[in-house]
Amino acid sequence: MQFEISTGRASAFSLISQDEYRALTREELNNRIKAHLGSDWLRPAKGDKGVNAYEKAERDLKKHYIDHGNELGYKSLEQYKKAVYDIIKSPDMVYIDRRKGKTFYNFIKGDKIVISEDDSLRIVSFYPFNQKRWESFAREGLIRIF
Amino acid sequence: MQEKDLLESFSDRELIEDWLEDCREGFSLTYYATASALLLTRESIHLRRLEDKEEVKKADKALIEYVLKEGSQPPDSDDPEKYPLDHWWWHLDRIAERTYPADLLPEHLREIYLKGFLRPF
Repeated sequence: MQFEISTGRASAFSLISQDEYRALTREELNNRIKAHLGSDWLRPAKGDKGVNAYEKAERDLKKHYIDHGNELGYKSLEQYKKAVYDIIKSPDMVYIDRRKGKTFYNFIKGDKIVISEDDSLRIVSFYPFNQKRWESFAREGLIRIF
Repeated sequence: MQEKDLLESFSDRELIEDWLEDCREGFSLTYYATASALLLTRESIHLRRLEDKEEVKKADKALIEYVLKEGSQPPDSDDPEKYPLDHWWWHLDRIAERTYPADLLPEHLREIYLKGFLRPF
């Protein structure tokens, strides 16, 4: 188990965020990680409601599958959709990334990455992991919690 | 360069509605983790020659405004350099940094972009 902080571009926001996570016990961090097993591709973004929001979430999932399903080796949308839980269940690394006030958990296993939004417990992406490129992005805060 | 419409199973109306929604919010098109898949919508709109529809123009303008104000990350899972530079939607990070060639933007977007040079990053 590891807990380390990568400061990225320092900001008041990221420092508050780091303090928040430093204060958590290992068990509390594990519980936060486990909570993402309840994430869902089809949960609409926070604030969006109704049939239209659900249908939009379905179309977004289909676009992610079209974009990444084949390169990840999945033969069907259903396989791609469900595979995220194997990664969330037993990741190699978990990072918390913050952007524009939103918090995202990055679950990395081998050459795959799943990203789940913390506030809404919504899977937002699943694609091949390229560590060098992934590390190159400027962030408000990036914290490794596992 | 993508020449095939990868979203061929989507109707024109679905593509336009998704684009309007994504541009209204802005975030998902400019976040490294989600941009690649969701920008396929705009590529399909281009391939189907739907981009001169007033509602698409309005959404495009809203997106450029958002990017100039809030910034943009390039897609993590795709290489924007593989797309032609005049497919501006793949190069939102360059638009945010004001390094995108203005003459490659359609006129209604160029005006907004150039005004963005007068505002702080």
